[in-house]
Amino acid sequence: MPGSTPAYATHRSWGERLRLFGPALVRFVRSKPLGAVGGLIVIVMFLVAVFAPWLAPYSPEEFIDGGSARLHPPSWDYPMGTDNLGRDILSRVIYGAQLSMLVGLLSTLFGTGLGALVALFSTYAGGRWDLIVQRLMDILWSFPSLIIAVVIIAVLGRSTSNLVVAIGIVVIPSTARVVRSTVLAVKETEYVQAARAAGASHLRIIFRHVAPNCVAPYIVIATASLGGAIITEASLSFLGLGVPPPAPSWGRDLFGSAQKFAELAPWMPIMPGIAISVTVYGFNLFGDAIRDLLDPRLRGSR
Amino acid sequence: MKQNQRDRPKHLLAASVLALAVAAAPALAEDQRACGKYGGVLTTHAGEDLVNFDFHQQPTVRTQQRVGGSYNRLFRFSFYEKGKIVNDLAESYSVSDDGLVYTIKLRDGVKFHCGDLAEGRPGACTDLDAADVVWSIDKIRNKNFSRRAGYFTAISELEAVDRLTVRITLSQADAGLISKLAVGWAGIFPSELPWDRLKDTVIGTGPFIWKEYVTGAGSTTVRNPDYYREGYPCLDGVRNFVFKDPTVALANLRAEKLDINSFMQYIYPADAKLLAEKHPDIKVSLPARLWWHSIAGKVDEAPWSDKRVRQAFSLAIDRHKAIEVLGEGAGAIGGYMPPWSKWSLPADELAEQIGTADPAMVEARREKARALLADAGYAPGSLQLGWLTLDTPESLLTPQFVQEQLRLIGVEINLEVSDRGTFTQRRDSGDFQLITTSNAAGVLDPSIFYADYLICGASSNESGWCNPEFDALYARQLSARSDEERVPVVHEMERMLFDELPQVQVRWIAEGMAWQPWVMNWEDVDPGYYNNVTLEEVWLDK
Repeated sequence: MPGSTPAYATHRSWGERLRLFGPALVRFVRSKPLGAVGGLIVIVMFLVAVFAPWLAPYSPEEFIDGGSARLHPPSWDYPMGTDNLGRDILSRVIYGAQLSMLVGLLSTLFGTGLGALVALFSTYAGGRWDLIVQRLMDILWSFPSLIIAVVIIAVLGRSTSNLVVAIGIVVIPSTARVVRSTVLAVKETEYVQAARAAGASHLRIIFRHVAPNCVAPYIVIATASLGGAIITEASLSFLGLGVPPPAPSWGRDLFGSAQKFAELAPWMPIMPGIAISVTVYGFNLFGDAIRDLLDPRLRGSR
Repeated sequence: MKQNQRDRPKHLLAASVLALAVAAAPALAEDQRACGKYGGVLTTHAGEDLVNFDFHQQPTVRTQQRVGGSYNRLFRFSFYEKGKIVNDLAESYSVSDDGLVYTIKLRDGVKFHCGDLAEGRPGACTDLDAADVVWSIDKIRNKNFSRRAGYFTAISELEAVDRLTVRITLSQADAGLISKLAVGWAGIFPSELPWDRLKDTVIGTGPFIWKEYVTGAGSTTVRNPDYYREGYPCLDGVRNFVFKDPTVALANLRAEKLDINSFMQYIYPADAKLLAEKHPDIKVSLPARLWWHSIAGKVDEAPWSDKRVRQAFSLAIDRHKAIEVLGEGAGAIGGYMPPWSKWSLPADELAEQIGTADPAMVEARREKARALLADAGYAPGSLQLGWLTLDTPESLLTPQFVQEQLRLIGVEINLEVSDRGTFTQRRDSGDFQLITTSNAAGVLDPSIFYADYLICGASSNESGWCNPEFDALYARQLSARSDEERVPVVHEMERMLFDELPQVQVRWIAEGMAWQPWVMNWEDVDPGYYNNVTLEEVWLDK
């Protein structure tokens, strides 16, 4: 039937999907145990971010006892110790997850979304448009991502939304390139040509026939980008270009006083450092597993 | 930590006491130490890049720290005795009976920098004369070309009497005049150098000739072979790096890559403790400096225009806790003059103004602050203000602490963290609600503190506060004949400031210096941060 969804795409009810989810999850854990660990870390971090107000023993900005509780090493009272201003590091790490997750997710959605759209339209249009857009992507890609982000923050100023934009823009070219390769193949398929012959509009063809077939590579690049986005956010915050203090941020909490007190109070840089490492490790493991599952060339490999 | 700076330079008294009627005061005693060895390049650092080389126009002392070694002043502070002033380019000076006319005789044969490096710089290789001094001081007096114009408001006439004689005529006696001529800002440059060229040209008579400045890397100066003080400088040159990150600077010091860890910054109690434990041979000094942090808003804009708000802010801040937390136990709290000086209000009166460490009193003050805010129409949480601050880790400490303190009385502060360029631009254009006033003075003299920061139209008077009564008192203390006469007037000014609170003082900062054991003829006696940066007698014993 011209203009319809390709035959291999199946429609399932939500109930059916839920029924299938359990066994699929078990299969995923069995086939990709490391990916499952990564997924668990990601879920835990999301839960920590969402439930931070209930999990954190103190406000992340509170000077405990007016600041007198400064530089306490990890103990039962302060499991991750306190910083030089008497703030509970555990609470800052917990609240810091909010920023990292928020910026990581939004910037990835923004960057990969925009990159995918750019690739969809330019590649579908082909010809000169495709050439120009791809050269622009090449230019964007030729700069180190952190440099681009620093420049964007310097121009736009420091705020959470600007962080999202700066980190998101960095992700655009890689997404565009990955999605483009899929679009190139899909737009030449028979069902796309059939849809075109049947008079379907370009927009309909793009969103109804081409885009759904780009979902798999999109998911792969999005999950792979998440860890990078979190690292970039931490790097920008470390450079003093993230959200302004005293807002908790893993990257910023590695900067400044944490460096100064690194020898006297090593828990100050170590704790946020661990949070960054574990989260990025989790995202990377999970992203790798997703890529292996969705990439036909890697499917079945360990 | 306190330091005793009660002994004002004796010559100041001599200059201001009419009874002395000095017709030709003897030259101020030199104190000097010989170079034990010649050669070597001293390495040090500053925390920021230079905006330009015009140290009169820069609010930051870091300019002075770099270019200071290329200039001399008429007088300078002793390298070894705190507060003592000795002759530099001045050979002698005399004061008229009424204290209104200073006649300064210059040294003969002093040359501005010569040689390949200085070639092409206006005034290179010329002899110093009275016209150069008049030209230089005139620039400092000119508000369009200097942030230090307030230093010399008492000068009514400045003239070159002959080639080596300068006459300064005052409209009123100025007890701090010689101090102000001795501070690092008062460097003398050739009259051939247009004022606006000081931004890009460094040429003076100082012990080191300016070689180059590389953004991000720092400055290099080399020995001036024609320096007027025979046998000096001891060093071949000075290399001043840019280390924006204090931990990098400290690491370089520990790795023996730096001889002196900056002239002003980055050694705090935690660092001192670390150095004492791991590098006991490195010398460290950590006195409370002539440097303070305060908060200012604009007195002609709400809410800072409401005195009750300013009072509430002052009451809300537990300054003792600030010393404990921010100063790591070091530093001092007080008014607008250093609390360890005779200019400060007596301790009991000061305690009334800034509170004590007693928790009950701290809470009572907060309660009073809440009441004042309520009276001013600000319910808890309704007053939200932006606070413009620099983005360096140390600059962020005080705002974060005060932010937390003000939160306790229901005031929300949003920190607007900016780099130096943006900060300066916004401060100068008045684009802020609250701002950190991180101020420093080179000399412990009320006329310098107030001239820069608090009199009407002062270059660093961020609040815009202007009180003719205060200015009248300022003039009165300037023309007083002795410090004994000045002290009560200054106390009256301090009381007025505590009543008006144009700026709310938070703390006087203790900040250390550290230097390697082989750095000889160097002592941390500079009352400011930028007066003794010529390093002409320093030598390296390695």
